[in-house]
Amino acid sequence: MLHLFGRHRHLSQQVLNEYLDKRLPDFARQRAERALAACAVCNQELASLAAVTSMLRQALHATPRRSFIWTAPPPPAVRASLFLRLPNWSYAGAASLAGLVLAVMVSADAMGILSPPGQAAVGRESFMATPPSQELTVQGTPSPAGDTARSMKSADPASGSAESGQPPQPAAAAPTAPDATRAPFADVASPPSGPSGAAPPLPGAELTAVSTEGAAEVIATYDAELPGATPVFWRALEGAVAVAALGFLLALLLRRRRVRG
Amino acid sequence: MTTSPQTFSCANHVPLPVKNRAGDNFCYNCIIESFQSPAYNLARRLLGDWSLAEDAVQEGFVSGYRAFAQFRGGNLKAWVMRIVANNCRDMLRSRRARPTVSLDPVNSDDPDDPTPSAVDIPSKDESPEDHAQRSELRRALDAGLNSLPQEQKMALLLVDVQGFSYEEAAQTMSCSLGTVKSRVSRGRSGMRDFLRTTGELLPSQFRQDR
Ligand SMILES: [Zn+2]
Ligand SMILES: [Zn+2]
Repeated sequence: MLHLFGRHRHLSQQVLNEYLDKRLPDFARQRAERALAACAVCNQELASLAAVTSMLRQALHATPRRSFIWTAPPPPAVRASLFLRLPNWSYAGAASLAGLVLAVMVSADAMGILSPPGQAAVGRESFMATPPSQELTVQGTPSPAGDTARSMKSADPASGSAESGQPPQPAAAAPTAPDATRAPFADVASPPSGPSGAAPPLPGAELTAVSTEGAAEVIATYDAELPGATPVFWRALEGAVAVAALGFLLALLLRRRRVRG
Repeated sequence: MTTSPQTFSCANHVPLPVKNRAGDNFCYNCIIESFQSPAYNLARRLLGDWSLAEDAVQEGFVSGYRAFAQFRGGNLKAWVMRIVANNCRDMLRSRRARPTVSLDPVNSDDPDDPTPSAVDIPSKDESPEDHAQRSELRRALDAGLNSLPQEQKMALLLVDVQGFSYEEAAQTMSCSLGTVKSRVSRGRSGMRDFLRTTGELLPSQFRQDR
């Protein structure tokens, strides 16, 4: 019997089920039929699955106690607020934008750029200037005070602590050296855009003047307009952006759960 | 151009014209009439509770009505059943979060449960023995279905109990045809194994001594 047909591999459950439901393509069906004709085990498997199926088919259907037919259409749904009706991509976009801004802020913070204004920070900020400049512009309107503040800043590294009179000066001055090595990079990223206001004597200061004028101005403006801006302010801003990003994500998740056509 | 509701046989209800995204006209009450029974039975077996099932179906029809303009056309039954099934899934999730509500198997002996009478009606001339055997079988079936993972149970409810095609089941469960096939297959094998282990009253096919 079986051995006459060579080695036999029992049909898989899935093949048996598809055979039962007449879902097998012709060649597979014929192969299954040959196996079923020759093998009692396969046959019994098929019979047991067929019995399960027929039992399930006979499962009786309950009649609902009441009809669901309406005598009048249901009242219109309370419309979700505009915030929840915008298309999905707007939430994803807003969430990722907020995430990006947050990432930029956090990394800028980690590099110490957002530390108390002054000294070496200016050189580094101009190196980083391009990405954060957009959000920074929002913080304050450009003002004529910018020019003076910038020139004062440019002069800072050269003139030392005597002029600025700030205690952290020596410590903050140290990072100026790396800034010098970054000079080429800063130049590539933002080619000299124009003449600088003040003409500082030292290379370190010159770098600042040469690099993105706009960014330097923004920082200067920021310093001038918000003299009280401290790390606390930045932490709060970072927190707010993080909350916004989470909020958009949450809104997106909530919307995903709704039934869509 | 607009199909009047009279196109449908709205004999027993108020016509409730609706239009889908493709511009086809329907009477929503006719849709309810066609699918309320399968929807209720699916919900009852998914939720294991007839009164929750009524809520799920009612809510499903309401959200279906509101979302009907987004229905692109295609298999209406699968569309309706998908909404009801999603409703049931959400209800099961929220119920799991509230353990105070018991998770009784489908056939509780709740005297208010309309199911037993409805189930027992079919053959009036059956003997008490047949009757007892039949309700035992029903219990075994429900227990077997409840022993399966949710997707396999759903696949069997759709394909075997409700007689859906694989394609309709795939649309209802929002999955591929291959996924339906494998869920049906694993579900039936699971049922068979379950019935084998508990099988006093089972048809002879289930006795392994055969
Ligand atoms: Zn075999
Ligand atoms: Zn109608």
